[in-house]
Amino acid sequence: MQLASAAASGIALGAIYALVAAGLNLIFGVVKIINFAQGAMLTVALYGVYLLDTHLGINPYLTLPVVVVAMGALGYVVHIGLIDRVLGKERASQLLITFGLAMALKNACLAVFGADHLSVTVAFGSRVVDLGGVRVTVASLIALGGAALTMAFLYGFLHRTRAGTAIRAVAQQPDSARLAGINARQMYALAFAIGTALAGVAAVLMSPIYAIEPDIGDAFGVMAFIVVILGGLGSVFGAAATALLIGVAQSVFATMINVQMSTAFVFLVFIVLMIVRPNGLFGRTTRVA
Amino acid sequence: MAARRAGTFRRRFGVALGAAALAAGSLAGCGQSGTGGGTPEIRIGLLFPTTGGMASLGTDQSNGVKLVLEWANAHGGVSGTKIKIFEGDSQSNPGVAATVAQRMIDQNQVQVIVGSYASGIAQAIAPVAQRNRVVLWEVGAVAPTVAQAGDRYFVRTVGASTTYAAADLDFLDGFLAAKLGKPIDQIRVAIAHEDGPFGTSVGQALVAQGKAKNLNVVAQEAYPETSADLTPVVLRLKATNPDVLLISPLVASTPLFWQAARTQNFNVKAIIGSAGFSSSTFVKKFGAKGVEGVYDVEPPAVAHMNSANLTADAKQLLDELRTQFTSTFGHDCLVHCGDGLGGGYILVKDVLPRAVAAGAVTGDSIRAAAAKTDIAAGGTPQGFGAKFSDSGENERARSVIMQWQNGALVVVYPKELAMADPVYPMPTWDQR
Amino acid sequence: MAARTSLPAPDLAAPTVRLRSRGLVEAGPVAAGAATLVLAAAVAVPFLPGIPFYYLQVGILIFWYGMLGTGWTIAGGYGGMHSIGHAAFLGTGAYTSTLLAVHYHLSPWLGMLAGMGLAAALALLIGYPCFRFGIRGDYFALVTVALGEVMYQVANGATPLTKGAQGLALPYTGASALDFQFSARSTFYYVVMAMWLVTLGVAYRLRRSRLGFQLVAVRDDEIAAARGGIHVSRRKLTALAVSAAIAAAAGTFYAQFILFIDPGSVFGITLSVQIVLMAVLGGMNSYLGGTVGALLLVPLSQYLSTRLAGHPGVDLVIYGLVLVALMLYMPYGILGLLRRAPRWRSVIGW
Repeated sequence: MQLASAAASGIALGAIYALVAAGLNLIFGVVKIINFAQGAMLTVALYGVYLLDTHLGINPYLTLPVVVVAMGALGYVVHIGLIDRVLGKERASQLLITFGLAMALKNACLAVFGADHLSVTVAFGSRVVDLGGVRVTVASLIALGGAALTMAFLYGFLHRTRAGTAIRAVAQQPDSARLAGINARQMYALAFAIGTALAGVAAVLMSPIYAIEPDIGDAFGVMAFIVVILGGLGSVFGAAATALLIGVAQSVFATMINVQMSTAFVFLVFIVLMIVRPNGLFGRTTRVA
Repeated sequence: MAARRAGTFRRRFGVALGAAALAAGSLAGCGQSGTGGGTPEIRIGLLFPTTGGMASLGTDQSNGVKLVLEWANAHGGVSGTKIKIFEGDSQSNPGVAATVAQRMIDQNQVQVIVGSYASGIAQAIAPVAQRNRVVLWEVGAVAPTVAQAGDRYFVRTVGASTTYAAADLDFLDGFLAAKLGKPIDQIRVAIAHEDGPFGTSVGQALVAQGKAKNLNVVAQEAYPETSADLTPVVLRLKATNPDVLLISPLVASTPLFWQAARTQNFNVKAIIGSAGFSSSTFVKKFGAKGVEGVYDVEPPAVAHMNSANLTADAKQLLDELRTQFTSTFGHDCLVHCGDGLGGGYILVKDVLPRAVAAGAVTGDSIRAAAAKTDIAAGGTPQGFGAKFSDSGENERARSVIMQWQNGALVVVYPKELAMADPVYPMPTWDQR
Repeated sequence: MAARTSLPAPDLAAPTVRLRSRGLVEAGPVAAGAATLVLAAAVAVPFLPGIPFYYLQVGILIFWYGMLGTGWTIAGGYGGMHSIGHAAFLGTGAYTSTLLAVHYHLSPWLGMLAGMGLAAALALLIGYPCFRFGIRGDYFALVTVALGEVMYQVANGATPLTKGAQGLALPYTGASALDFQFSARSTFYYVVMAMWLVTLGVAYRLRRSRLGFQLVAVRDDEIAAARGGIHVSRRKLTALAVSAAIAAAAGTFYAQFILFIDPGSVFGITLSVQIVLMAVLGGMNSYLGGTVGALLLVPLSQYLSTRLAGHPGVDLVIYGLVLVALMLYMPYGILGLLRRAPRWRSVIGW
């Protein structure tokens, strides 16, 4: 039972990792930019949820459309205003722009909201569901379901819509895509906007579980990088599956063997896997890019 | 084309040069502003983590000290000498802290640095203060060894982690054992702590002091404060079926632990938390009912401490400033703010007046003045007294047991500072 | 394998004069004289009467970051290996020398050499599979992010050895130069200045050596370089190992100067990015880039945090925005502005 509970909490955790990683993965897969600002975007979105909840009394889950649209718009603006101007130039400077942006965003949150850990609560979110002895919160189940839906939507969008197909085309063969009449710059902006909007989705689903503070994006941002690398860059399902695996491995190792070493252990195993399978755990078969 | 490019180049290079010149010029400028010399004021640096991972409680502590210093200025300063406050941000990073400390000493000519909330940061500031013969007036860090051996410029007003363990064991012995109906060596005690300097030192002190009482420790779990999920810790603790849980987390992991405990229906007869458990975040997140009955061991959360037994001076300051804190910052002055108030109070009311009377206020005169401090219990806003050992430790500092009752963290043990009697047992999750 | 579809476009406008340059000498007597003067001034700074140590400490930070940025350039600038995990090497150096000193009373100078060796070994361990399987560009950068995080977690989790998040305090054993401790703290200024100078010398010589030209060839077009007979992965491994060893040496200096290390302060990803920042902002293809970057950024951040003290976070917001602006308008860094001037191009070793 202990093992099952550990696995269940690992799955819930993995779902959160998957959500945060999804946007990073899309942006990396399409725009080919290492986006250090993704974690800060998550932070910004969480404060957005907090504002809507405390000042307008909107249930955190119901802030989803507002937060997603606002984050998408923010992503679009950031892309047009900053990223687009340096695409094709020095790549290291691109990632430093996103780093500078991250620094400004998260400290702006601190300057505005203070350093206190804030929280939003959803009464039914903290209710516990007993699945034959394995206990999980409603909020975790919602996060898991939300993650699955998000991945399905994302996949559907990329594979079943014109815009999605165009994005994939630009990601794979920018020059040919341009020849085919696709406006590559617009597709990059769209991908960046969607990637940032995904941080908004993650924020909404996480908000009842985690405290809202300026540094919250950092830890999840780094984990998202790991997920993206190990999941086979650019693959929607590869990254999601990797996130779940990491979550479960971390949780089970921590419960059964040692809490302190759990993250290091998981990472070490995956580094070894990286060396054995440098294309990522799930290859690039279903990749976006 | 070439001309245009050259123009662009010149413009851009000009921008770069301008920025460099600005930076260089400003550094030079700062130097001039600092070298006043002979100014009739006491210069105090506040060096706390106000950004980064420790910012939440670090800011509370900094604000606590600041209120006392401003209060002193509003009441005529220190024996008529005004205090000038310089604030610094260690960014939750020891290396940054060391640089800022040096800057405060050189540019602002501070005579004492009040810091630093966390033991790791204090360990980086202490050598800088020592080498510059400036006192590090520590109001927050609790790891037992912070300063280098023989550091004469380190003074700590708050009790080290050993006082946490002592208060825990007193409470187990003097209250919980009777309630549980077992002698102390038969109580199943689980210890959990974050694995940084704070949690680890409290955990180690508990184990060390518990040996003398044959404490029956059934589990000892260390976990990273940055863990994204604490279900594994809860599952491991639950498997050992403890009567009492002693846990020392910081702010980030506390709600995750408490949520996981609720989810896994992990019930103990008594839980004594620390740090994160005494933060205002904790009660905001889970509500009064969600935290009812949880104990906390620390220096007192002064907002809900009985000030009736304090000396008149300490009582007046405490009553005034804890109200002011709540109205200014929107939450109560709890433990870390209280550390700031208490540490600041000893500095401005007891030590600095003596240093001023002795002539020049320097690191040495402050340290000498601190050596003469002799405040009986009840003489500081935190309720304990102050007397500094040769190594600068406050031998009279102590921790108390508090409990969340109806949404307030009230002191329940020991009796002389208590606002209410301890309530036992803690409600189970089904009863919340 | 994994051939990148969008490698950075070669800078076609740039002149191709590259070989046979005489480096600094070409700058002319005025520039060479100015450089000598600046160096002499830097040496003389601690002798200024009544100079506060804080200024030396800012100088120490400049040299330290300059050294790290220059070291990074050897891998990142010359070899195109954009590591975002150099803190892994720095932390390895800091922990190696510190643990050896604490447990075995080994002189940190020797510990520094051991740390450099270990960091170089770590670089080979991570570099070998990467280069063998053709992981380069952004993919390599991401792998180094993972490396940094793994090292952070290992240092954090291996508590019996490293004391984990509690960190390690170094005992101040008095002032013995053998212990890498000095009663006159200005000595630290000279020590780190010397370390920076050595790094600069290594980077300068390396750029002009056969290895340097081969590395640049690999960076600009790996496939062509391989066809031209260059053993690509061996050259890259060498550069990465040298770069890692330099970062490790800087790590030992940090530990000895601050006397306290913990995983967050020496293995953090922010530190890794700061190192890249120095090199890229200065101009990452030049051996002088790291130094120029540090000369700008260290005083800037000190200035902001001094001026905006008491307003937590605001200085960091401005610093972040300044970074964005600088990178937006100077994507090739400050020295990158000179890259199209043939004479300067060879002086800065672009």
